[in-house]
Amino acid sequence: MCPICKTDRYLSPDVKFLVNPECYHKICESCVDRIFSLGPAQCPYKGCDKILRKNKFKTQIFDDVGVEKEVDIRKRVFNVFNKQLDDFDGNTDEYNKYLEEVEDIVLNLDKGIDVQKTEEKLRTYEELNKQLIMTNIERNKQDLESFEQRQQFEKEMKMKKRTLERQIEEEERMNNEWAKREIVNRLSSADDATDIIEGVKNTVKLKKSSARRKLEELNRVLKNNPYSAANNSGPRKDAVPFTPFNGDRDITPKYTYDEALYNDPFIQDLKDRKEFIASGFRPDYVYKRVLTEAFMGLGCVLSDELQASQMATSQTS
Amino acid sequence: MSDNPQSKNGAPAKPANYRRLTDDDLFRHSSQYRFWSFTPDQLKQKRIEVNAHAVVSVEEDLRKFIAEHRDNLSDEELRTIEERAVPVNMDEEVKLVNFYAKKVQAIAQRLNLPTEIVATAITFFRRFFLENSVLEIEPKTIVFTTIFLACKSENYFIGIDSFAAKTKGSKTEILKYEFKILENLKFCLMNHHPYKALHGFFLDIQVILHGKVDLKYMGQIYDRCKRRITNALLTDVVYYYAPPQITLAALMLEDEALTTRYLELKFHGNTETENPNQDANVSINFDKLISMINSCKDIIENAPPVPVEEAKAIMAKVLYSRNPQVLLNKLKRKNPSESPEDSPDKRPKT
Repeated sequence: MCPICKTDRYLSPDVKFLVNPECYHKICESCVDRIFSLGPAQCPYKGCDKILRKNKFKTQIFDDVGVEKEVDIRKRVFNVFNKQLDDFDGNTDEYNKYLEEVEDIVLNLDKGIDVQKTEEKLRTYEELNKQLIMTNIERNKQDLESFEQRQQFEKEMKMKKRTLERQIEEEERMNNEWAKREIVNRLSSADDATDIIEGVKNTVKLKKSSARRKLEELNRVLKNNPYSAANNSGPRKDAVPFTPFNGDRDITPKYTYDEALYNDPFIQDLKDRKEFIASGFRPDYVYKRVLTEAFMGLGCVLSDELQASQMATSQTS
Repeated sequence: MSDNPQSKNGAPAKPANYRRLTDDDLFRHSSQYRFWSFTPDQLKQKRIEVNAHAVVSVEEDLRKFIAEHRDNLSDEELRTIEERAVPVNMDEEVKLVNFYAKKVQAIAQRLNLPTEIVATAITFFRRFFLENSVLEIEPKTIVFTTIFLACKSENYFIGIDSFAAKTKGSKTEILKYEFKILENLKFCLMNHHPYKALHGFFLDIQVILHGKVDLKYMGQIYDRCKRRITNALLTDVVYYYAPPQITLAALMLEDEALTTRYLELKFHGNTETENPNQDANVSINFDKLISMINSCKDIIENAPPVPVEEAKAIMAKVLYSRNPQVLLNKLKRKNPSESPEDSPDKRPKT
């Protein structure tokens, strides 16, 4: 129900509500026309003294006004703060710091903390980095375009592929039918049945349809697709794989693994039981795990190491 | 990423200060190493601090109590409070915790829990009282909670309802301290127990001493060592040594000749034929290892059991210092009728 003119959905089911990003109060379309067509006016809500303009009204996308507001703010802020990882020469720390800063601005604007200062910050940044912002907008547009192009291309290819496949199916069916008929025809005039059947089948095999050839070609094109190729061989391939502790595990174990020599009645009993095998039980996993644990930390001289680390921390502090 | 040197053939370059990680390094990354390993001095220091902190607050309360009731207290009562309501010191605390840790073990075993879970429960319990004083939280209130938590953290699920029924405890009482315990464990639930290491050594001994050792005998040793390890978990060696070292100490206690022989064959070559790629503290020095194991062994052997009487006396002290009123009530009950059946050394139920 519109709180201004009290129209509700029951009587006029196609009533539309609009909001203004100034105060996000819901007003129905006819009210907006009525109140604001003569120029800017105050928000008709009681106690709201915002001056609204008609051209700023828009349909609400999200049910929650808070979400709607945040999305609007984000759109605005991201239009200005539109740097990307490439702008930092791949320095992830710097980039994360930058993202953090942007998030702070969004939060401040959203929650109304230091709005004046934040707006000021936004403006100065925009002025200082006009050039960069423009180029980034340009680039984003290009990215979007190329993405769309690629999607278009892939879609077309898929369509072509499907039609070709259908053609091939059709042809195959025709061929089979033809073969059957041909066999019957020839059998009526000759007498060596097996020879005839073999001969007809061979001719069918030799008939490699043009559609099939086309499909093969298409597949080849798809494989060296310029778009997907450009996409896949990005920076990802030659990046260093992640290792949690900045190094791989030592590959020489401290033990010699020899399953034949182990006599472990408990594990050997489990090894042959179906319910254990079915769930993926393997004795070598168990053996290797316990052996690894046996030598894990054996070389740590805790008392010395802790003493040393304590000394180190006390020196730095 | 772009400042990493990259080789021409597209093979990934190694990141800066890359190195091979030994299993020891993995252990150094574990929470057990980072949070729950101490030198004897550090451990003592920590316990003294925790105790001192609690004692201050308990004494504060005591003074307040005396100040509030000054008018109603007779000289005798005051004297009794001064005498008997003394906060426990650090040694007594350790004894009490060890006594209850033993209780945790007994109860967990009575519930037929697997060995590792019993061990985890003990570990959780003892770690909790590294951060807290018995003066702040009575040990018996968290006994069941630690067991319940250990079951959960070791993937041995028992519903709280059935757990409460089994232990005949109340559900809310068990759950009440669960989060506090988790908090004091610094939310680190992974434990490296010496049992897996024992299993590993059990296998490795069979390889190193192949044909020289009776397999049946090995089985017996394995079972006995398991028991020894559980007892070792009740001592401070868990804070001073890494799990495999404790295992070796247990093996040493069980059969010194066998263990020494194994270690000699396994590690004695290490000192001379030092691998140039490994740096000095990674490879295992035989003499160092032996001396470590021996000192670990000594601690395990010399851990005195806490007698029930002593534990009860300490518990009474804790109770009195926290609630002097209880002491007074008892005094009153005793004094008016010096009846013979009210034995003077009757202690409150612990």
